[in-house]
Amino acid sequence: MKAEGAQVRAEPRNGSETRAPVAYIDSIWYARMTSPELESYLGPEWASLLPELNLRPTEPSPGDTAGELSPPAEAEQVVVWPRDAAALTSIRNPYLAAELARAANEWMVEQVLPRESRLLGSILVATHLPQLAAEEIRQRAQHRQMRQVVVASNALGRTLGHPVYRPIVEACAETALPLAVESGTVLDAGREATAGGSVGTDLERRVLASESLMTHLLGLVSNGVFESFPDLRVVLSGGGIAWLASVLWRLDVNFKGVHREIPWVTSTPSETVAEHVRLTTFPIEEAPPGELAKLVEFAGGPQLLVYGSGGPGDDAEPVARILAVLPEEWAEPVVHGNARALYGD
Amino acid sequence: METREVDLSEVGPARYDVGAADGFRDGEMRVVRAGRIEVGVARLGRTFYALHNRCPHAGGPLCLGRLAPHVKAPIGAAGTIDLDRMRPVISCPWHGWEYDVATGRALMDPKLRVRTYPVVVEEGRVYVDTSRHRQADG
Repeated sequence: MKAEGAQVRAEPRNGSETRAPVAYIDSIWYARMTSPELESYLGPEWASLLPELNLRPTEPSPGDTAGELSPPAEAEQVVVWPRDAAALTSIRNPYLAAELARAANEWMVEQVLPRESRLLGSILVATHLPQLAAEEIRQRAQHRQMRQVVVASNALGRTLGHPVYRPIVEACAETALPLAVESGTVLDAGREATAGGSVGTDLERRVLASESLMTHLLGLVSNGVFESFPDLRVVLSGGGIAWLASVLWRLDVNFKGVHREIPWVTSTPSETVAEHVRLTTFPIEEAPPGELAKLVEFAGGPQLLVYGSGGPGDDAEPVARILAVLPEEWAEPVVHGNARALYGD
Repeated sequence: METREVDLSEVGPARYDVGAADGFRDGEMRVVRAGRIEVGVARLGRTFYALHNRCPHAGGPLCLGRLAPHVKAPIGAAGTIDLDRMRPVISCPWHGWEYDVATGRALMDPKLRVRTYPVVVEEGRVYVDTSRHRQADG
């Protein structure tokens, strides 16, 4: 699906000339509740548990509260993500985790989405209690600006393809909302954030951010989730885009060798990924010029990518930066068309 | 499954006597040398099959792998496994790639196919004809 009349032009490569701004869709813009907002939406009973859990932001940062730092005017649509979603996984109390997600969604509906019609919301769910999460998805999906479901890491120590999470996947398919997976390696996320074990430094966390996405992708494929839900779309975010080619090379060849183990999977994994999976560009790798696009091409091409700025904040990646490292003809699908097809008008 | 390598002598143009039919146990795969090529000859029920002992994927000794019924499942029914005993499959011992024994087609890669050969049983003897490829019916 391609938006009619989309005005997308690559920014000048050398930055020396100025052109009309690019019209784009930003698939990741973070917003976070302030402490008073969190307390208010959580209610006094649950909020009384929070100080021990050290969840409250101590210093305001960009994106705290819905009104701060509006996305640039050139952004036609902006998908708002709850910041620090992965912190939910560190919550041991499953009921509190579900309440935190509920509070975040209530806040999203009341404080964020009414501000501008171009803002599209994310339904945050805690994975501790999949059935409760599914109910939350079905209820929030009724809001027309809610356009995706966000999960981060996993609370039950299984990949998102495991049948234990089936209620969440089923609810996404039923409501026709993409299931967005955030890499979930925030330092306090705790369990199962990286494949070899928990990491201790921010450096490790940043570099290994793609690991949990690989694991979830393999889980979704091998458990036949895309065969069970042929219209399901999954967005993998926060781990960059270079890793997918390597995984698909290994996955496709090994799939042929172990197919008797998973006869319910009928398509070659790379074909499944091309149809069902998208990666956000944020945070994009700083690779040698031209090399990144080659890897994405091997993995399936520009249809896989949706631009996300990761804003607001110092580490946000403006659309010009992404366009500068990708082929010019990829601009329209990556910064506009793919996201439009994924999230709708 | 039992395998054994025997050099066969040609009993006609590209025609080889693999042995007595009643010497094959059900499910047996016998790897033999027929001229310049190695052939796996298998018996499943009353049917005999013959195929080239070379995996088209990476050149592995295909017929030394596992001979088993085709495994299938209803689409999307994770955790459900059905065996199609009418459709034997050979798995290469190197990487596990599977081929339909009757047609030679790779199950998960339609571009790949291993050669199959006609097998006949005459007067209790099993003969393989390596001059012709068996026509796939699938």
